[in-house]
Amino acid sequence: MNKVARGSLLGIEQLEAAEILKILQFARRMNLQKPRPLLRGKRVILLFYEPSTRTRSSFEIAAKSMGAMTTLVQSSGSSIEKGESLLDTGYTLRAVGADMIVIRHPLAGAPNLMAQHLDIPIVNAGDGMHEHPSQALLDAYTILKHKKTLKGLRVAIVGDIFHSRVARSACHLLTKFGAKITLCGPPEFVPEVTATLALGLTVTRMEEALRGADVITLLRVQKERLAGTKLRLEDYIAHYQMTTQRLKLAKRDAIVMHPGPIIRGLELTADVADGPQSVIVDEVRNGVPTRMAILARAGGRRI
Amino acid sequence: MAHAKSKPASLLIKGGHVIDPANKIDAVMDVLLRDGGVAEVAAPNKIRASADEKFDARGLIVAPGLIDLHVHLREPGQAYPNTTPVIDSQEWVNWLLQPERGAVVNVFPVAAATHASKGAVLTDFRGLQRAGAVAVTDDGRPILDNDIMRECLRLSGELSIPVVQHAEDTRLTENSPMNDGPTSFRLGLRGWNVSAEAGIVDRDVQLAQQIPNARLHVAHLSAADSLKAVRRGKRNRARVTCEVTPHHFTLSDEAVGDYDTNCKMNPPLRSKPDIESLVAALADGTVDAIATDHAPHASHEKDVEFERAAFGITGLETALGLAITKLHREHHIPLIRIVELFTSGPARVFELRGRGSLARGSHADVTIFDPNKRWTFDVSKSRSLSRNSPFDGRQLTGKVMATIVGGRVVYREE
Repeated sequence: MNKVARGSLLGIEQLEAAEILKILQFARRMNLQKPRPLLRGKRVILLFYEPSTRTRSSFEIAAKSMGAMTTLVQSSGSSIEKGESLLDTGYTLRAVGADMIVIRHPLAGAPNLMAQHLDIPIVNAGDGMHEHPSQALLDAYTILKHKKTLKGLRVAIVGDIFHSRVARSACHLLTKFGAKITLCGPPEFVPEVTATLALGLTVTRMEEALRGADVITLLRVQKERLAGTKLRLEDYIAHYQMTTQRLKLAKRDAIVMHPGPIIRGLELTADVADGPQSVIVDEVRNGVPTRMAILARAGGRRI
Repeated sequence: MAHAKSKPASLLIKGGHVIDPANKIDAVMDVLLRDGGVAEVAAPNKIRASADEKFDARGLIVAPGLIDLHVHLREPGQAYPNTTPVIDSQEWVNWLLQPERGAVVNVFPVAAATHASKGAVLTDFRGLQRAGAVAVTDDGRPILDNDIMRECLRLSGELSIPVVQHAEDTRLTENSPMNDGPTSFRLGLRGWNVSAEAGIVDRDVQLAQQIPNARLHVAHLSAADSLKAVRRGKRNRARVTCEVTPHHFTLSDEAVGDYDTNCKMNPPLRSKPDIESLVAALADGTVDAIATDHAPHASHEKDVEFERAAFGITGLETALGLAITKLHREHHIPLIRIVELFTSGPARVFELRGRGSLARGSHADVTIFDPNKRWTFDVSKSRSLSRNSPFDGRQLTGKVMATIVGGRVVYREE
């Protein structure tokens, strides 16, 4: 086993607050109109074992706009389909000259495994139910466009916390900066154990979580997850859907976030999704400079 | 066999501290082994008979040969159910016991309880027992069906052959590679909840209480909740026994860290309160034996995503060191109790006559160890072909200095 290569981004949990700030500041300095060729000549492999629209395209645009060559490798149509192991795929990509690998994988810890055995930076683009660090970083970037600081901020995260890598990364990041996070959702999705992830997390009822919130993050409801529980879709909508009415409980300047893809009429109403407090489209937009910063860091750039 | 030297007719082990729990001996004694048996145990320098060879055991503990109830030997061909082939017939038991297998230690086969370990049709317990099987089990494939388990226990009572249960309600543990708790949540892994073990132990103990003479042995018990049922069974005089592994009393699920597949085994590492309960049960007699569940795996089975990695770790080389380090040094459990958990305890569980004891006439199986020797386990120097141990680099106190099987020294620490 090797030491993890410098510039790897495996998760938020192990990052120090100072390092997170550096990435966010670097992202803010990115000029999207005229990006600097910070990755000229670098080969960036986008290794995607799971479908993805926004994460994949924004990593690809981020890499290309800094002059990198990108190659997309997906599980279908590659040797992965023939049963090649993750590490053998990694060694192969290294041998063809990859300078870094951005990996999305359905199994938790897949990026850690790659990083322990390869000598190039590994960037986690989402692994199972574990972490989605670039999403947490772009969300922090988005929050800081609207709020002065993360410290003391009241954040409500609503929905299926248990199965969500977005929630895990967000909890790690925001608590490192002293935000107060309330988790809420049906008990099946928000068991007691969720509050053990970091200091500064509490599990509360919906109304309590929303009251006085500065930021409301909604998570996608996966219908196939509901199938395994006693929970009915109508009940979820009745108790946890974000409506204009419920939004009034939060601070007047609260923002509504969602990692996407959103399902209008399920976790939120169309009114909220398109309303003045929604920053959902902003988040997608902010994915590009944030991922430019992540990739530049992986490429060995001082950030 | 290449290693079969002509065995000495007699061996005198001199000046060692004999710990023989079966005979309540805990004193400096000399031990004379002759013709494959224990000839005499007596105060120092009191043995008059001459011996062909002498072993200077001063400063060392002389114990009956250690017995491990749960070893997956993995000789190409293999030696425990959940093997290919499954040891579900007399022919396979016979094959396992052939001298060509080349075992330098005593190997006692544990046969499958149901055909192909499929949990549907019982094997021929009587025939397997006659062929040499000391117990039956479907190990990694627990017997979930109440009627099948009841039938197994009924036969076990008639034949006095233990049914070894890997207690896991697999209906509750699908895709669950580690213990259910804060660490599994942090890592985004599905948790294997202790209730899936405790529920099966509870049911099995209830059945064992209902069936005359039923012999139930709970393999690698890992959870505090499971101990309750075992205690209840013992209190009610049911013939219920259990074993605990060194890794379960040493490491908690936090050791998984960031997906260390060498900490992946089944049952998984549990919480710190579970460890405390196991240690207490090892001390107070609830637990009958320490067993390793030694399970070697090739690196390609472990260097994969955590959820895809094979369950299991090696354990033979670290068992005694971990027991002395954790149970004796840290928790002050007396050495005689620890020796009991490795000798007379397991011998009683599988009714191995003339084993686990230094009574005159017993088999001349002796383990000589240094309870104070400090050493560091280096997995790259392991005698196993496999490297899947979570204890690499761990400092241990207590080391086996010599292993004597049938009166012959088969291992000696340099």
